[in-house]
Amino acid sequence: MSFALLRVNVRLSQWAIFGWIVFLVAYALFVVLIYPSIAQSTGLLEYMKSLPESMLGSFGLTPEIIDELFGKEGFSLDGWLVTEFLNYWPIVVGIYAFMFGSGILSREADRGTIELLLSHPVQRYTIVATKFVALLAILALLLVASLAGVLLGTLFVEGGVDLGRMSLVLVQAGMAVAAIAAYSTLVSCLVLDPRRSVAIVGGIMAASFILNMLVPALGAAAWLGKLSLFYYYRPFDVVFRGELAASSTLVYLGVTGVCFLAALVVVQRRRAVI
Amino acid sequence: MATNYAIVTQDLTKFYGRQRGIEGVNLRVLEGEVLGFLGPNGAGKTTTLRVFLDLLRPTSGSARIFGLDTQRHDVEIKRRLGNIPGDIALYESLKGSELLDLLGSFRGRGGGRRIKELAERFDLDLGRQVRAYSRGMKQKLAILQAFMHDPELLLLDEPTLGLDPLMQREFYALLAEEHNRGKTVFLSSHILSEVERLCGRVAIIKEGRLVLVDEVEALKRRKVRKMHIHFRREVGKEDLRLPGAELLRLEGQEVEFLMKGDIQTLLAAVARLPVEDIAFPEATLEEAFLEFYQPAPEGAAV
Repeated sequence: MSFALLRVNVRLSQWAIFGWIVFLVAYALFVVLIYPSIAQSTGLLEYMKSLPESMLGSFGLTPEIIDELFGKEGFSLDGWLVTEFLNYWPIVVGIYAFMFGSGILSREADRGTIELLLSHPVQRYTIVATKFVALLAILALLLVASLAGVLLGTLFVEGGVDLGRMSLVLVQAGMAVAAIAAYSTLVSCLVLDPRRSVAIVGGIMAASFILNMLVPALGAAAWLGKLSLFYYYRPFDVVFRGELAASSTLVYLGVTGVCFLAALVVVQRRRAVI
Repeated sequence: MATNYAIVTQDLTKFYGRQRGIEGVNLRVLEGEVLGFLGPNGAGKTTTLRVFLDLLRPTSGSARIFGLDTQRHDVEIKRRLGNIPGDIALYESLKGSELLDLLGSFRGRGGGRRIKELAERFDLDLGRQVRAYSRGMKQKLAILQAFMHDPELLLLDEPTLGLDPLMQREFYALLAEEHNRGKTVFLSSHILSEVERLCGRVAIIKEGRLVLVDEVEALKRRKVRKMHIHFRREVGKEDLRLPGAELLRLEGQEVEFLMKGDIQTLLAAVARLPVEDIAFPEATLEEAFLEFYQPAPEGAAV
């Protein structure tokens, strides 16, 4: 890995990182700050319970989860945060991950900067590996910023959050996004045209999201949902049980590891990188 | 004594699908020589350079630099070479110094003193962002990144593109110094005068095949040259039958010749005419190629 290249990549993305941090902190703050207005709402509970199970399932909800969300003292802040913020975090941040990841090699090739880099004694895989690590570092930063946004919000509302469980949810969300980043990187190494790689990865991500939403309606074909990375993201389970499901962790780490290694093999074996 | 080659290619061939890049290129570049690589757009010059850098892998054949295979030992080779790409792409958001630091880091050192010397020599402000650089300044930065680590071999693709005449001269001086220090230079260029000035030998590539590898002196003898004469008064066509020159154009007192033979005899014949002014414009690339691109000589490869 090249630390100089890592630094440069983070530096080149600094304004995008800044924008995303501001967005995520604002999003977290917004969700926390509107919490008091819905905390004691019984109408929301009745409305949610009136929804068909398949529709609830699309949002990762079940009648049992809804009961836990509301508890005896109304909607908990933890539950509210998972429902409105953390539930969508991998999709929102996944957009950044796939935009960055799908350009890891293809954008360098398209701009011609790969020729400049590879005129010097550096392995092709070092460039891809370093840029991937830079992406992970940026994602970790966004994760911390999200948690900071939540904590900042709790200063202004009554009732705290379980920091440990919130962190665990974010760890699972981070692993989901890392997996998205890894397959985006692989596609970027397979397809040197950045527009095509963005289209392919974006298509996979959208299809994956829709597939997961449709799982409750698929009946006997519900197993297809397991093909979606979002299927393994279980924020409600994490926040209510306080533990990460081993299967989710395995899938995310497995996809990340396999796609990352495959990307390195592909870039090293490519007959052309320009 | 054994001859040392910096670059050896053997039947080097690269196809892009069905489209030919280069085919059967056999070339040997001696250590310490400056070799000019000529060819029109699309002839295969950039493809050849990219194979040397392992940006492209050959369909068949091989390329060896310093005796090392370009596919298997690309990193070792690149430690010893400097490259100026033909169409330089830089990170626009970085400062010149930051870009050089990044590229220097791949070699484990920044080459600080050499960078400072070269920046002063080419009058380049490394504290500015690349996006604020003009075309010529970007080219200077490309020169710096290629020379900063004092490489043994220089692969240069149109290295003076965008440089003003003063800087071009400085670059030629730098290249001459490097040559005197025993460095090998592989110079791909469209500028014939540049190649003539700097190179000992030239290789000409046409439609992906090497059609000629020869000494520059031999090339000069083959080169088409023109002579423009402005006469004090109109001269009859029969007076313009000059030895070693072919009349191309006659418009009043303006005459253009194609020079082919011995210049001494030609000038002696011209001296008898009422000449007001005489000029020998540099042969254009097109003119030179018209001459070079006659049927390829047998056994052009070296």
